[in-house]
Amino acid sequence: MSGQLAGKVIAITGAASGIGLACARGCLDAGARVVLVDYAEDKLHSLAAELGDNAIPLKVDLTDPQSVAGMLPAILARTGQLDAFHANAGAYIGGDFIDGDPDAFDRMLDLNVNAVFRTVHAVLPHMVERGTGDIVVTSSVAGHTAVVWEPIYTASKHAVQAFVHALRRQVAKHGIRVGAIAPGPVLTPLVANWPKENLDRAIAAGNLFDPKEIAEVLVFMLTRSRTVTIRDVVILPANFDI
Amino acid sequence: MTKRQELSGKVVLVTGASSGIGRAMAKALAAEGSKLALVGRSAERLGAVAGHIGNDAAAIAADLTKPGEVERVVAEASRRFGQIDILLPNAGLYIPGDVADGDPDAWDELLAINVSSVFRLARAVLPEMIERKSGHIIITSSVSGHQAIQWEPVYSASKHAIQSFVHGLRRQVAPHNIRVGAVAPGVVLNELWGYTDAAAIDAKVESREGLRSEDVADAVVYMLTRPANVTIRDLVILPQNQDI
Repeated sequence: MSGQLAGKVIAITGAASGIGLACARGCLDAGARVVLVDYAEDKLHSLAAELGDNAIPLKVDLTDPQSVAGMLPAILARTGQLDAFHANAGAYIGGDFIDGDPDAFDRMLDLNVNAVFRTVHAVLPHMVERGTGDIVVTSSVAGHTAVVWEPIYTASKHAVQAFVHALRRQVAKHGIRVGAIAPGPVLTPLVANWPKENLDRAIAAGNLFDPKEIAEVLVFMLTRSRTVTIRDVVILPANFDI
Repeated sequence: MTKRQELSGKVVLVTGASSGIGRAMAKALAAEGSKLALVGRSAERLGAVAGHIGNDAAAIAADLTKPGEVERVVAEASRRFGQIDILLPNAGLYIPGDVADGDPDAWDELLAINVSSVFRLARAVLPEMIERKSGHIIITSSVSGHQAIQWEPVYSASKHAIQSFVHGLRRQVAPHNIRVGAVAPGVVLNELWGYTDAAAIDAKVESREGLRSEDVADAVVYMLTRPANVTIRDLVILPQNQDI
């Protein structure tokens, strides 16, 4: 898919690992300039060295409003434009709610929900002004169905789905597309927090898949005709029983 | 980046193949090298699509709401091509409007094609897919299957039935390496919605209020070509400016 995204600038949050990194690689392969937004500065810099000149590292703390306020100006200073914003960064908490830590719930919601709102709010005026742009959010199949072993996570992704569907209708008139990718379990550092017996079972059954598949979906969504919005893609390991 | 499933030589049964999304899927899959069993009510219109594709297409005219017709169609397609690798239940009717003014007999006809024929088609192809431990079913659903739409409650209900079926069936057959998914478009500018004039279609695409059938066909080809260990269960594709 080389060249499909030539001339485009895409910013991806949580780009230093997992799905975000796979998506960054996929967009770079397709010819885009990619702003890798993450908090892990060391990792960002070693990745930038590895990925070449089209990979632009940007340290942002997505849970710090001041840090987020500096994100778009920093992107534009380096690239001059932003064609697509991929709100991808997320955290995972599974397990029995009754045993959970409410402060950890808050931290997860800050990242999975509040940071999505805040970052999208920060980049939209630029897109509205240009009359074009794409917002893609990494959701989850847990945003489409209530998943019993992760009530807080599944609630956070339902929030994201509602946001995507409603925001899309608000900004469609500006030529902006909004969509969500809703994967099942992907082999990333996030699922390392799964209950161990679930993780073992999933790996044994081939129930996890490679984050490269998510990158393919992102590139597919971004390369549709501007007359077409892919609002939702639910992508699962073929044998994942959900 | 990842291993694309090749569609060359695969046998695809597509219903509603004489027009709209079905015809666009047939043409797109023919371009991928698939063999096509084309099903529709009008032998004449099907023949035109089959003629366009050539030797790798068989036109099977049938009314899928009539007893035994689904089973006959699947048997004929299997006889012609040896097996069915991919099933695309796509034929559908559309009825909008107020329930208070509606025609219950027309609803029954809609449910027979949009829902029952889909169940029957899956029932007819699955035993051999299970035996081969391989197969892919993608059903043409609608955004109306993801949310209740007030100007088309009967249609919306039929597509919600499809969504439930897709999600439930997928879990039943996944252990047999069979993938099941649904494509859910918004407004598509074709005969089902009363669009036949090319200039009118172009204008609606330009204003981003409608999809071309080909946009949906491209999405289905994308879903079918994912690596075997990945299922796209749902893909919602909308005109960029459809307010829904």
